[in-house]
Amino acid sequence: MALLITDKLGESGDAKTTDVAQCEIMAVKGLPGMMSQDSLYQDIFKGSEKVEILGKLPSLLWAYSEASRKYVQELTSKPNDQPESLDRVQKLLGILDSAADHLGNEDLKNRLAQHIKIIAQIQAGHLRAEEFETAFLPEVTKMEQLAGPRRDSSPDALLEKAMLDRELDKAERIKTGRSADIVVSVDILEDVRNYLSQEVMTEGISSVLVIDSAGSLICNVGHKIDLDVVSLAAVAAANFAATEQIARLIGETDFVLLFYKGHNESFHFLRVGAEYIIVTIFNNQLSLGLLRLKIAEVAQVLEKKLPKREV
Amino acid sequence: MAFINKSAKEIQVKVVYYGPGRCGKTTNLLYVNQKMNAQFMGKMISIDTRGDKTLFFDFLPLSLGKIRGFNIRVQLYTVPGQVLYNESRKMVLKGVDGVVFVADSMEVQLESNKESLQNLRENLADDNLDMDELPLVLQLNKRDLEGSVIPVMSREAMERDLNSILKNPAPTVLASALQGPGVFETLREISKITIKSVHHKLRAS
Ligand SMILES: Nc1nc2c(ncn2[C@@H]2O[C@H](COP(=O)(O)OP(=O)(O)O)[C@@H](O)[C@H]2O)c(=O)[nH]1
Ligand SMILES: [Mg+2]
Repeated sequence: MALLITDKLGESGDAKTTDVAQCEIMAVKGLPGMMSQDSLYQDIFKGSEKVEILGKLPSLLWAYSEASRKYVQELTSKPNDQPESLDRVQKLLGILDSAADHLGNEDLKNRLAQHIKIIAQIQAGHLRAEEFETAFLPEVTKMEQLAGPRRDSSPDALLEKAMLDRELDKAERIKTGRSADIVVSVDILEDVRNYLSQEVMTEGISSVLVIDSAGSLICNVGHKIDLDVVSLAAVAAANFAATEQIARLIGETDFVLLFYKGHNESFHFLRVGAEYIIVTIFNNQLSLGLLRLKIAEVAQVLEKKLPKREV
Repeated sequence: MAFINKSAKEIQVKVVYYGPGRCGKTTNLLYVNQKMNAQFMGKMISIDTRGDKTLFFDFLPLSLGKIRGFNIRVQLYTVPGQVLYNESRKMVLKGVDGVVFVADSMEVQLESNKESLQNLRENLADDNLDMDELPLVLQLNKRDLEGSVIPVMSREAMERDLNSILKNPAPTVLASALQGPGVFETLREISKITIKSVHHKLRAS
């Protein structure tokens, strides 16, 4: 799960805005004065998606060749039906195209463009099935060569088989730039920040952080922590996730609230919806009961303000 | 910092799978968890972002039988690979007895591998541990990509690169965690050298 900040809400859902890094820089530049800390609002997994899709490329190529052969066979045996495998072929073509981009492999890219063209031709009825078969099958063989030795047919490849369909989904999200699951616009961010600093920061509360469950920092108001705020967010999320595992081990689904008492200051963690966590740092003069009421209210407000998961 | 219980005749060691994000650490544990006889294994716990990226760690406790009358228990951990999670990585590393460094064989990950190994050295040093004294196995993962369109580094090149960061060359295992080859070999190798080093310390003290 990744966090993405865009200039305007909705843009990142568009298949065109695949350049996550670009969007983020725009978002940060859009608001001078929010700079240093806000530049930390970035896709914390940046680059890892490329690694992911490249590692999957051979399996994806094999999946493509399998689907393509089935497609050809359907076309020739049942020329009057819409081939069932077309959908999978097209999905894979899209994914492979973006993988070829990541890889910077022009040859593969050109070939795939060629496939898209010829499939469009047969679908439009401009080619006969036999013509298509003669032109397309050598291409499929070429894809198999690019995929390298096929190992997923060994019984040892169980894990790989089990994962492929999940991976296909994921790869498609990466392809369309929708892999960032939470999209927060700069407007929303500012709104949340204003709300927190005007309505929530009172005597006794020194910092309020809003983080997502992967540990990305969404918003930080207050003076308590400046430098280490990013680490704090990451560790807090890890801590929250770890306590959830403890909860599961004892048969609870999760702990909705966590509270740590220090000598001078205390921490209060509260989940907001499924995605976010509010971390409050307050001094021990403030009564916990009061704080809990207050933050519960904040949670309700934030749940309305903050966007839900994208995909 | 192995835990040795002399009266129960038991040795517990902690092995951490370390490496850059997406190199296959979690996949190693998943494979072990899937293939090993349940009788020798506890429950695998993953603290992640919904079955995906490791947020804190994965954990898998194993019993590896007896050596010289001692029951050997090995706890496998992974760390989160992304740069952001360095604090969490340090927490997982606490008290580590042996490390499997999982390197990604894809050429694009050349620098990430080196950075991660360097980061391991720093994080160990923060805990007063010397990487050169610690049992360590290099796993060169994703070898299944060899012969495909994805450029993969050669074993020699990877060993040269990674060993240049180490004082003594570490044992290397070629692996494909996704498909299985090398996973148990890695586990055997790291268990062997870790337990040896624990025995060694035991005798010295
Ligand atoms: N081709 C290939 N992919 C792998 C291998 N091991 C892991 N992967 C893939 O690499 C990605 C990241 O793996 P994961 O275990 O989550 O990495 P971690 O971040 O190190 O825990 C996943 O998509 C895995 O399926 C391998 O041996 N070969
Ligand atoms: Mg992992």
